[in-house]
Amino acid sequence: MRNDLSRDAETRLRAALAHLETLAPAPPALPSPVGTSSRPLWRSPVVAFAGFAAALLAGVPLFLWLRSTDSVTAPSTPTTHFEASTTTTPPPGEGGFPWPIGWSEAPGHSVTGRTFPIIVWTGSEYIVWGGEKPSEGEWHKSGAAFNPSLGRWRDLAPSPLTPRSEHAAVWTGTEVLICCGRQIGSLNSAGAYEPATDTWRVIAQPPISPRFAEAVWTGTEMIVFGGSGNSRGAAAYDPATDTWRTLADLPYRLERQAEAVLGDGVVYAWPSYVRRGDTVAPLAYDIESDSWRSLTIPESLDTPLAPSLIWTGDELIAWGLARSFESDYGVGLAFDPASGSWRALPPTPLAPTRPSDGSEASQAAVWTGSQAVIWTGWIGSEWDAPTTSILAYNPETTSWTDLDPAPVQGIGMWNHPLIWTGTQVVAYVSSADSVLIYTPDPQGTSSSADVSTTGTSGTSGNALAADLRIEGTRPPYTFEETQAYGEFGPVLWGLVTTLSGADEIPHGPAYEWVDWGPLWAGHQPDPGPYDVYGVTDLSAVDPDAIAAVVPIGSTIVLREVEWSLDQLEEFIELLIVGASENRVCSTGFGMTPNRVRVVALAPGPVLGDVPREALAIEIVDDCLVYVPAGTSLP
Amino acid sequence: MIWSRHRDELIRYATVLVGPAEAEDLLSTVVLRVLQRRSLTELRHPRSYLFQGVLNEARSLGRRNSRRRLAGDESVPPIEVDPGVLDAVLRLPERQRAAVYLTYWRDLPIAETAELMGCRPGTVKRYLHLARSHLREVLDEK
Repeated sequence: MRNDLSRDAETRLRAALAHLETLAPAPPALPSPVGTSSRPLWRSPVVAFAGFAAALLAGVPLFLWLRSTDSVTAPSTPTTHFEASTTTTPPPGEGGFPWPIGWSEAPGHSVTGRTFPIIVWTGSEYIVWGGEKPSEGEWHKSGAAFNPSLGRWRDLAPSPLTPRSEHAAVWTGTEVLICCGRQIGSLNSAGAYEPATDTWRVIAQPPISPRFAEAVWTGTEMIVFGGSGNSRGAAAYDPATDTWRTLADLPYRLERQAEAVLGDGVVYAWPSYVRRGDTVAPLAYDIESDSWRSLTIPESLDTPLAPSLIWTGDELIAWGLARSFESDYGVGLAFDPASGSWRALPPTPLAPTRPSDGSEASQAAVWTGSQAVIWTGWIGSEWDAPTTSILAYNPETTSWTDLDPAPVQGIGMWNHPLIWTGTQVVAYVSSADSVLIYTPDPQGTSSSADVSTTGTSGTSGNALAADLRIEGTRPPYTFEETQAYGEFGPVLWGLVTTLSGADEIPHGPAYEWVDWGPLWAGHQPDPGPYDVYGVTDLSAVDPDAIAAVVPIGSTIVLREVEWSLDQLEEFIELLIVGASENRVCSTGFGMTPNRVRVVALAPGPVLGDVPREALAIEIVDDCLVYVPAGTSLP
Repeated sequence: MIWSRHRDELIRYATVLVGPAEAEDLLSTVVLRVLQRRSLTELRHPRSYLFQGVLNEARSLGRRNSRRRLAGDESVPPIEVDPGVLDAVLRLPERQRAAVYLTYWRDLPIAETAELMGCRPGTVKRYLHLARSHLREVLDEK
């Protein structure tokens, strides 16, 4: 890269950079992380004087230092760590750790990174116990508790239980009851852990030993069920009497990754690890009558689904990834117990995904009391970058919200890894050695994007397309090619990241997104005409829409056109002109719009020799300014 | 140890991104935020973590008050510094300026620049190209 400038140009550039660097004040002393004030602690008068002296000794112009110290009177505004969030740190709760709005990465522990541990929320702690690390080929019997309010882990007392994974657990209000699971074979032992005293006790031996166990807490009993063959069964444990009772057997196997939820006296479960010939219908267990029944699968569901389950208080929500030949796509269903019928949720604003090598896709869900938070994605492979989407569904408004992108990608979600603490979502990501915490903006001004689900054009101010399909006409580029091409075009990169709700776009041959590679071909040694994908066929967009309205199910067809690099940059300049005329959010002189949003369609002017038929774009670099209907666009 | 090892290069980096008047506050904010979560010794890659924090904070600062920052610095540059080039560098968006600084002044390879910026090497190349296109006129690089 360095030979792109002449020696003289580089010399002058280096001189300017060197000059800037010499203006640096003395570095601050390392503060003590006491208190939550946003004002740096070392900005005390004493330290200020010391800094003043240091600045003088360092030759820093006096007026610069005075300007710096002047700023003490104006406390700096704290900002969130992740750039997707633009709001300030919320006031901590009572004794609460000041997690910023948006995603935070909490320190990990030796228990993080395990697969199939139990994860239980006690109301104040996030308890992880057992599990395995496939790379280490061992099962664990240790555990730890993470307190989000303190931001700290503590080790649990040694457990009398044998090491295991894929076991089941519930929180009774005072104890974590743990049952069953597997080590090499199925285990029919159980125990209880009391966080208040950090003590364990072995409880009565369960009459069943499902190796892939699920459990729910009824208020008085733990109902455990699952398994296959001889290990299949269901039983209930009463901690008051330390006794088990055997329940009616399941009508068919229920194995790995099945999820269960309790709602109005009924335990719902959905087989998810199905084999050829398996029954895939969801199950409902009626506690009072001790009976199981299969729920009819919606006719519209023509592919096996392995959903996560949520009980909203009124109905059962099942959301999972359905796999077709070409892609995985999100399917959401709601079951009304009163009528016994299913209805489809509004289409999930999730771009179709397509793990090219069958790499494992999964999801997790948690109910916040008003919304279902869905985390989905798949683990990357040698050729596929991992990806993650986090969405929230509000049953009351039947709308989806695209939450801020998580700071990590690549998930393997098992055994209820999402916890809602009442104020935050805590996620156990088995592929990471940390815990993720999502703190919603209490003012509701997060950078999350509401997503239209009604299919009515022109109704939602910042709606994005649901079920949007973006198709390329060129074979996908390889990972190496996209790297060589310098990633994505600045314009369409922003468009796609906005539409996909992620700051990062996965690379790899499985992703049609990577077709943007050649759009930015700036550093190629031989500039010339490049293959560029233009967004052209947007005729379905309602031009009267105020912002970002692409009807549900509409297709954006990417057509391969040829733009020279100069033409491309001219186009970018047009966008910047639009910004400078206050029609859109200004991003500053010369700043490439890196988050853009389709707002309307209009017959576009000709750019070079290429008709520019579409692309009325709003620049939304962390602020939203809507283009009024009828506004002429650059 | 970690802080004393990196504080000088961090304050210089912050100064290049936001100017001397706000560099110290910016760095203070970044470090304080890190320490609220963990100690520096707990970071696996403290240098790149802190560099990324400085860049992110600079970008946030730029969004909040780009006009003030773009007004430039009030110091008088030495004779060998071309005011036009200096002005053009100051007008670069933070990420482009960071890429230019780390690559052209610190002489870091693309891979290390990418690590410190928290992005991929290809992205650094894109920032560098954008920066050069913005600097082209003043550098007479037609």
